[in-house]
Amino acid sequence: MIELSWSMPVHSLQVDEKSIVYVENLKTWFPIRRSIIDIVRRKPRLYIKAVDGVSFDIKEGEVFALAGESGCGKTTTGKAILKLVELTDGKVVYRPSKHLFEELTSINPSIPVVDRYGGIEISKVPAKYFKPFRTEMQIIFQDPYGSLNPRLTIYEILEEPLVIHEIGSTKDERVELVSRALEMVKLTPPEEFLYRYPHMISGGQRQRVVIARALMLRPRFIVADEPVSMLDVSIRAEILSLMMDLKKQLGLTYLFITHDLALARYIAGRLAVMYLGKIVELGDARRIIENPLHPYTKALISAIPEPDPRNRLKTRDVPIKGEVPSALMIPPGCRFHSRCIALEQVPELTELCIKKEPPLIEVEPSHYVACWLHYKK
Amino acid sequence: MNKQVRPSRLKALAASLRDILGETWRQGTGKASLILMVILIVIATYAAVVMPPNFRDAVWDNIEVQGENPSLVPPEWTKHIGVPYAPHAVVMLSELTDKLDLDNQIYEFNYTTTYNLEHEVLPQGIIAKGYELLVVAVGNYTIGPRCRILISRPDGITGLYADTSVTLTVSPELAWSRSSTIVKLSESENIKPDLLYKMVIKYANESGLLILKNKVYYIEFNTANGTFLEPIGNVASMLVEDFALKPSKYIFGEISNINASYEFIRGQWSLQRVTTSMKPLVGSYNITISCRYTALPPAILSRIQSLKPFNSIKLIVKGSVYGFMGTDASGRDLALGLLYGFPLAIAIGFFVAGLTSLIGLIAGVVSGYYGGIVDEVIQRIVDIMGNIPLLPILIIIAMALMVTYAEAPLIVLMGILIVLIAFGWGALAIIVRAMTLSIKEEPYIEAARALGASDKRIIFKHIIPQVIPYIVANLVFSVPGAILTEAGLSVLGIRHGYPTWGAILSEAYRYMRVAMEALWWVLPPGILISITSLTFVLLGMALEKVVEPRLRTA
Repeated sequence: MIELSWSMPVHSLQVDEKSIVYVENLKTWFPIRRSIIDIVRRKPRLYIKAVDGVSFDIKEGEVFALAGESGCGKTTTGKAILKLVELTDGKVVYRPSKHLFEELTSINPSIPVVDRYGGIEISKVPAKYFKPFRTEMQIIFQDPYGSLNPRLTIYEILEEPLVIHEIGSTKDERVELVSRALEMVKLTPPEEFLYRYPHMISGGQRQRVVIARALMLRPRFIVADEPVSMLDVSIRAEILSLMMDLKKQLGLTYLFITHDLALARYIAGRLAVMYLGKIVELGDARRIIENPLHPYTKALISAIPEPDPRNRLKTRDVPIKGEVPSALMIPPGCRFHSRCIALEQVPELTELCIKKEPPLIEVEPSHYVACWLHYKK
Repeated sequence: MNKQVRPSRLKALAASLRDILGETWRQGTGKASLILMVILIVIATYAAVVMPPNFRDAVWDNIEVQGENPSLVPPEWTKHIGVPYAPHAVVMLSELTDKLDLDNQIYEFNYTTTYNLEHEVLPQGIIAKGYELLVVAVGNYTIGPRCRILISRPDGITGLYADTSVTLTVSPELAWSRSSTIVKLSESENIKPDLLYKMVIKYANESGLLILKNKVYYIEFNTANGTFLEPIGNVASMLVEDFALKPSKYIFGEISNINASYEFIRGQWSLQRVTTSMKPLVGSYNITISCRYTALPPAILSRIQSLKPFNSIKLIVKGSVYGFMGTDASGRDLALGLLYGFPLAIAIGFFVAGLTSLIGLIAGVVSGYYGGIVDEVIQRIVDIMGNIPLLPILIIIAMALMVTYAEAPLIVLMGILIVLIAFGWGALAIIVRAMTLSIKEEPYIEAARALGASDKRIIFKHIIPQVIPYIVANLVFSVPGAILTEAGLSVLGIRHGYPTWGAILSEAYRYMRVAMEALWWVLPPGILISITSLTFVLLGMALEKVVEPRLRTA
């Protein structure tokens, strides 16, 4: 066994009064269905480890980006925070606003408050008490075509949150609220959109409706799950600037899930890069992109197309090999070692990388990397 | 809160219904099916409104009603296509044509009508039914009229074909005695013997006259009283026997040939058999019903003159054609049965298809949405039900019900339908489950969940509205299945007792040899079943294209 000791601190959560959401050692494993023969033979249950021990915190008012290629577990992390998928292990803590906190404690005095700032471990809140949290935590989906029910009008879609949470007692009141939300996302005049069906409006307009729906309940925290990746390039900037305007206007906090690091640099304060269910690099978005430390982050960044005409004939060299392994069979040791270029370049690390999983260590102030390359005695 | 929302939702529903109908109408099959459907529903509604609810007992299986009709005759309109016929005549005789004071104590009242036979076809018989009999009560006995039917034929022969006397002997033990079998007092006699006795005594004291209402008296033909005015030699007694079997042959026919066969037995020739060839006699027949009171007490004489022995007499000459659709072997009016079949078929079809769809919808949505053990249980039940052969089970259960509940046709019919439903929902549940599984994964379902929507809301607001069009198309498609299965079971011998089209066909099947020639009995129910099925299948096809645009070819 290799003896390990290092001077740099391992990543740990720094919870303070500004933390609105934090997750600790979050794990979401999906069991594989076994056949009857497997059950009889007592084969162990296999899991797809979509998220396998993730910790980070999000401060109020920030844009926290979660990046990585598809299948790395970033969307599952976002959904787990909103309790849309079940946790296998770990905890998700959300600090509600004062009045919601009072409301929650009055309904259910045994609600699991876990820190002195009023954070509630929502992963332990029973389903029947969870509904009020929905008003403060919302999600914007990636697919503006699929996330609107094609059989409902825009009004019916936007009315749904109001009906569910019993806001607005008369129809007039609800029409008013819906119209204001449509104005907020710049779908004006609202009367023109109220009674249209989703297929009658463009993709960008649909995504505005999706955003309006997320805003209907006046949330504080929004998980934006690749909100622009399915839109035309021409519309992306509009939607992004709308989201940023709304953030300023309404004091929102975003967990911005994206596979596009260029986008993360454009809007995010902090960035976490995920690979196969784990965070491999975490820190200030600008700093990570300008100075990526993890070989995987480097590969991702070199894949960003550069809008420079001089590069048009250059063959780009992306420093990565192979394919993403299955989340069912995560490689031992560093889970990136099977694709790592650095592993070949630094042969003395090979044994360590294959056998031992690297911890997330602070290489420079608030810049964390999980890679043995940067481990120093 | 809901009141304000509802109008718009109703309007939206009406709009989508209008869209679906418009879309259906635009297709050829859709147009045909909608026209047929409207006709079907109009007829069914008409039948359901106009026909008595106890049609089966009061009309269809009522022996009295059946007895008034000729049996197994074609529809009346066949005479317009050149088929020779004997007309079916129903005459209400309420006016006396003759009133005779034959003797001091004898009165005779005559009702007369004529019947014209234009073609050489024999009518099936004559029935007279008297209503509101006048009985004279004297002391503790009564005097009723002696009634006869006299027919004078175009060839000049007058025959007395029925003779009966109505005598009511009132006594505490025996309410009345019938004279022979000719006068049938209605079996559904409501008046109890002692009550009748009291009534008679009461009226006898006051006026001596008693009119028995609400009763029908039959005057039918019976050999014992039918006599030939011109007996024909030695064979007369033989002919009288033949007459007992086929009275109308002798009333409306003339003998064209007589063959007597003799056999040599014990040293002498003896008469064995007489066969006659009868030829229907064309022309005008005068039918007189004469009612005679005898031995009237003098006190009554002056009063009875102004009265009638029966308020009215219904005289029926059973022809060789009847009604719009003819009759079956028991003399039922097929037009009524077929008309009654419309609401029955539609009710059976929609009951089975509706419940099948409803159960399939619920089971499918629950199975697909909740998954896990619930899903497993429902799907295994579907598998098991799907592998049990339906027909043998259906026959066994129906037979058991037929034996157990012979007196309750509704239970037998419902039993059959419930078995059909129990075995029918599985296929739909599988389809709905598959649809639910795919809808469940749509991002907007997750979005609704993120908004805090409950399972109930997601199911009713997001899943069911998407499944409903398929359910409706499937419902329309499975309506004829139920109607056809019911008809098939009827033909296989499972009889619940309701006059469905299948049951009429089944009845025809029982009389197979006869029915081969009685096309009016076999074809109409078969054609109606086919047309009804066709309507729903065409509508289902059109609706399927509306709800599943990928099926459209153009």
